[in-house]
Amino acid sequence: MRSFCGRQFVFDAFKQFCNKNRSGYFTVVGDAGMGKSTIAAKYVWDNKSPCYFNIRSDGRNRTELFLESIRKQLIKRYQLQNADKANLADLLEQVSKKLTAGDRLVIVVDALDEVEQETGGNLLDLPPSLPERVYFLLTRRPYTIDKKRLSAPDVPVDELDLSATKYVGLSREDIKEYIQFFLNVDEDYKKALRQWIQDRKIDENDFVEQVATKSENNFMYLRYILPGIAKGDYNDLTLKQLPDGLKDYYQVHWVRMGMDEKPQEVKVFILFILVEIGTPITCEIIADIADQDEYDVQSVLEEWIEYLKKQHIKGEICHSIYHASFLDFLKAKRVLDSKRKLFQEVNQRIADYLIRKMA
Amino acid sequence: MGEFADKLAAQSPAFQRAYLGSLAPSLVKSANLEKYYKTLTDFDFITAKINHPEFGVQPLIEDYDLIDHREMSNNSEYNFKKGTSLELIQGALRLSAHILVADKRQLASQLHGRLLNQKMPEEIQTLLAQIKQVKTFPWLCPLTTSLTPPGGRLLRTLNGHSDSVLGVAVTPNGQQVISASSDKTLKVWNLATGEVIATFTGEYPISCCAVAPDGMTIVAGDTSGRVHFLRLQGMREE
Repeated sequence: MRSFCGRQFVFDAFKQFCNKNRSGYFTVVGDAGMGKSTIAAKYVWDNKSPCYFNIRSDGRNRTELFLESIRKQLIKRYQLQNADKANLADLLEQVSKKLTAGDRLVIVVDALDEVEQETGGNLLDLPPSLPERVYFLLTRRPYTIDKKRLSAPDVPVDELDLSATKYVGLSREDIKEYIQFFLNVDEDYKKALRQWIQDRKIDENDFVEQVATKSENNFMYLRYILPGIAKGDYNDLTLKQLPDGLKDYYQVHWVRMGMDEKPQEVKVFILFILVEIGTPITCEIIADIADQDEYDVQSVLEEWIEYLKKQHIKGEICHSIYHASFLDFLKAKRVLDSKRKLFQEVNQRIADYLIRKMA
Repeated sequence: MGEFADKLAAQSPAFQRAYLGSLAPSLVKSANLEKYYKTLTDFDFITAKINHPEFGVQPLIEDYDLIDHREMSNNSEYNFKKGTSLELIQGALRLSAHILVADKRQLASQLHGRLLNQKMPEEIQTLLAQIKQVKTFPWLCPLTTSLTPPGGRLLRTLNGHSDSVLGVAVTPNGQQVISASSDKTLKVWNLATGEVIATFTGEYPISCCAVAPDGMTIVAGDTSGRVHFLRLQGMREE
């Protein structure tokens, strides 16, 4: 945890939530790489809270594994009796009875979006009601209402969206602090980073500012780019070339989208439209260009919601690719090159559509 | 032209952005060069792109760079004549950029005053005829070529100083120019876009300037005998 910094505003907001409510679900929502898991880990580290980190790639993302893990942690911590088969609601009930006036139980669950669950109901079967003094600190990526799958009508719930405008300034401060940490504290990289900056006669503050801007407040980006710079992978500040780590990270996204599986030409086509048009566009326009049913396009977009940016602009719901580095990844994607024909066809359809609409 | 503007205005905002931003690039990327020439020699399109708050003169000027005229001139399939027309229009827009940034309604006057010439290629003659039809507001149509035409020594005017410019220097990468003026200011300009990157206001007219090989350290002398050592900081990479 030595490399964590910032994000105090999240912990403050959660503390307030706990003080104000007798129990509840508090969800931190943020895009990939905005530091959700780090926030969760930091909270667990500081408070020694019971926790569960969903990790899809490790297969640690199923309800039964979650319950088993939380059960073990609670039994050990609160010396619960005859709880070996208890479900989550019963466990929480037992713990609640043991809690003294000033005490709380906070369970941290990271990455709800990674949960795999065939059965209906709440994700991880999180109980619809919570006993007193029991709180959940949850994190997840932006989601559509039908994928929310967390219904608790009688429990206080709150959400903190890390990408909300009011946190942009605070996020940037955290990002800068994170870069400073690499420059000043990190034993593995600080020397090489400083040497790199010195060799190029870059002002240290300029370096921090520019890298912060490049990162678009994404910690994931920094986590790969700064070691990359230290290793000498980048010879200029344009940072145009993506670090291997981030590419790999996006590759995981790509696979998750199912793009490498069977022919997913419609999906690839829709994605290329977003890449090629560049400006935020509506679902209707995409459907018109791709010659697809609007409903089908909508469902593809929703499947990708974590990777797209949805904004209201002048009364329209518009979509674009959310992160510049992800866009770069898509542009460099091998598929784009090996299927030049598709790439040209997308542009042909875009041009035809634009001209047709104005004819 | 009112017809085109009305048609575009009737479309959704997302469509307008997509149309003005993507039409030219998509035409080039799908190898529709004829339509690309047509779009960029169309006064309606030029006007619409300049007038849209998210675009303007500079993004339009960059549309003409989507095909490299010089590089393509060896290609047999390339239409050299039409390419030349695009270069002329781009040149005229660049020469008028500083005026259009302040007053978009002068577009017709500016293009007409710079392109009017019987030797101009066919596409330009068509454009001039189209410009003459502008009736959306009163404007002054130059009857002779009284403005500097494109293709000459003047490429662009950097507007910003309020008194004589006494000294200039170009950075080693050729991307910025530094100017010293009697108006007591020193300015750093982006040569590609004509925008002021930074201004330094002194206490006396600044009479000369020079830039170090690092491209960031600037030395300027003023008429009081003072020498200013300045460094360009906080530049963001494109």
